[in-house]
Amino acid sequence: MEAISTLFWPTVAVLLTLAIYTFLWEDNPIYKVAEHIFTGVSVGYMIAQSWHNIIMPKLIVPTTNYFSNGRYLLAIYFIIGGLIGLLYLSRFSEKTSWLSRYPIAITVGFYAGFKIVPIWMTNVSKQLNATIQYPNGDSMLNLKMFGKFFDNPTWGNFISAINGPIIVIGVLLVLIYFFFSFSNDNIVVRASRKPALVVLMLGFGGSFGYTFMARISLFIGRMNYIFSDWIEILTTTLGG
Amino acid sequence: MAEDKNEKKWYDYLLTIKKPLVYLGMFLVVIIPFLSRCKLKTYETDLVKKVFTRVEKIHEYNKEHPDSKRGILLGFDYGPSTTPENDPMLYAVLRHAFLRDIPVVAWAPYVAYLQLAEGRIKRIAKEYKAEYGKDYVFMGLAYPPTPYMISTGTDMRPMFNTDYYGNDVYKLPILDRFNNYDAFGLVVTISGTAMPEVWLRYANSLYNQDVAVATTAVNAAKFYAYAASGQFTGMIAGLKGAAEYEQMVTRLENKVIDEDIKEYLTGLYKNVDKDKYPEKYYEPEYTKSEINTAILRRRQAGRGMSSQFGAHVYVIILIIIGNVGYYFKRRDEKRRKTGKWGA
Repeated sequence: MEAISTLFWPTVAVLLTLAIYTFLWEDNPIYKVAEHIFTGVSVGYMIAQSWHNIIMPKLIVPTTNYFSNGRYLLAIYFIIGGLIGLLYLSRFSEKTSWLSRYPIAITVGFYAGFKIVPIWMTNVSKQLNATIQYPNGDSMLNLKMFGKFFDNPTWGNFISAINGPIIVIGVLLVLIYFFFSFSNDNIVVRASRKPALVVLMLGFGGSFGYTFMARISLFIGRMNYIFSDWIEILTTTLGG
Repeated sequence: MAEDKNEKKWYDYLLTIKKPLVYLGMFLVVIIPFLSRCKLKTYETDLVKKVFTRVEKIHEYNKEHPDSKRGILLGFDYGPSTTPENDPMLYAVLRHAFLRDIPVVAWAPYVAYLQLAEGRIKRIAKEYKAEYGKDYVFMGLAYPPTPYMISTGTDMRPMFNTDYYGNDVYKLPILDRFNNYDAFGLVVTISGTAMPEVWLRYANSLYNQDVAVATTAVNAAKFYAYAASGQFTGMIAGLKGAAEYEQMVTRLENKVIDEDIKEYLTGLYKNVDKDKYPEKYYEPEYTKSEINTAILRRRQAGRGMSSQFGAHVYVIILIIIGNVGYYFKRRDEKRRKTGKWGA
């Protein structure tokens, strides 16, 4: 009996994986069944997990504990938080939906205020700095690197020499491309369009290559499950 | 004699290969190297080496300062949809940490990641006899993650109250010291989401904490900018990055353990005080099947790379075939229009 329970669910997982892949042939009822099971199970799982890992330990248990310990102010603090959270549910009725703006306003207000400085530092100032100089403080347009290449003309030195200029020029080209995307006869703007497109296409190409690798990795993951994990369970279980 | 316009040319066949056949080809090029257990040695890139070296530096520091050790704060920032890519990264990083006796504190930011995280962390901890609460701890859910990251600037414990298993966080010895960024030599975020950016914003920008990222290939292109700027200490990108790190850790493991891994795992919990390893965290013994799985896990990404290689070559061939067909089709159409056909 234990053998059946050990083997049963992994086998269900294998069958559902194959059911999903039948879509590659064409849309079919087997695929639809697997798709609906996936959606239903995901939502059900998330609700149960949220109840057991958020609502119970982070709201109900602390509130009851604080009440039983006589720390009523803290308990009331949790209750107020819970009640404000419940206002989200007011969106189910048109008459009361305006109430949901309160928790939304609190959340958006908190995060907007809190994120301004970290986002500025992470995404703007440090990135801006990284377009001007390397992490070690050397300038991106450091001509000494070219000197080093001419002294010792290796492939590595060549890449090191052109890396900084490519980044600086690439960023400028793409910025010009997007800032002056409207009709413009300026010679600099016109001349920069094609090179900017090349830079953009190189970027998109890199992203595409990585995306392809990611998708194949997912497929390999499922094959690994079927041909390594499941086969191992199958042989161990049936082999006794 | 006039050319029959409806007659199918050779390039028409190239341009109308049926989709199921293309998928069948992909299935074969992925599965054949995988089943034949092809080993593909991969070259190691600087960004991955940087993560490895940073962890080694923590180990060196801990050797010199045994009373003020540094640990690793691990963000388990991925869910079921990206496990094939992120799992080998997690396994390699955890193996490295446990191999070097570096304390690990882990948490997960979303409920869907919890059970996944718990199962995987204990699986690797078990391979190195890591004691729960002393060598590692799983804090459980850190949702919403921002306040948890900020509170770790001073002390993470009040945000949690209990760990994943319901233990009081003030009674776990590991957390006496490893409760804020000062005690962590590195934050490693293993992610299939945008969570590494959140780590950068709070742990790195606000608290100057070193952050390394292990991410899916889809997100890698976005995170390269942060790695190039030095904001990320290093980056493990996609299955290729995972294979590199796995290779480095396996090399280190062979050096440190210096024993056949099957024999090592078989004898790991013989003659040990099993009270030190409560079953609540993991069962201190190995079955034959578990040992086989643990051995296969050690080259999970490496095995995947041979399939990746096959798939990439296959797609390059398909692109060439498509372009050749398209080129000749266009050339013939042009000739037809200009009347030079058959001239």
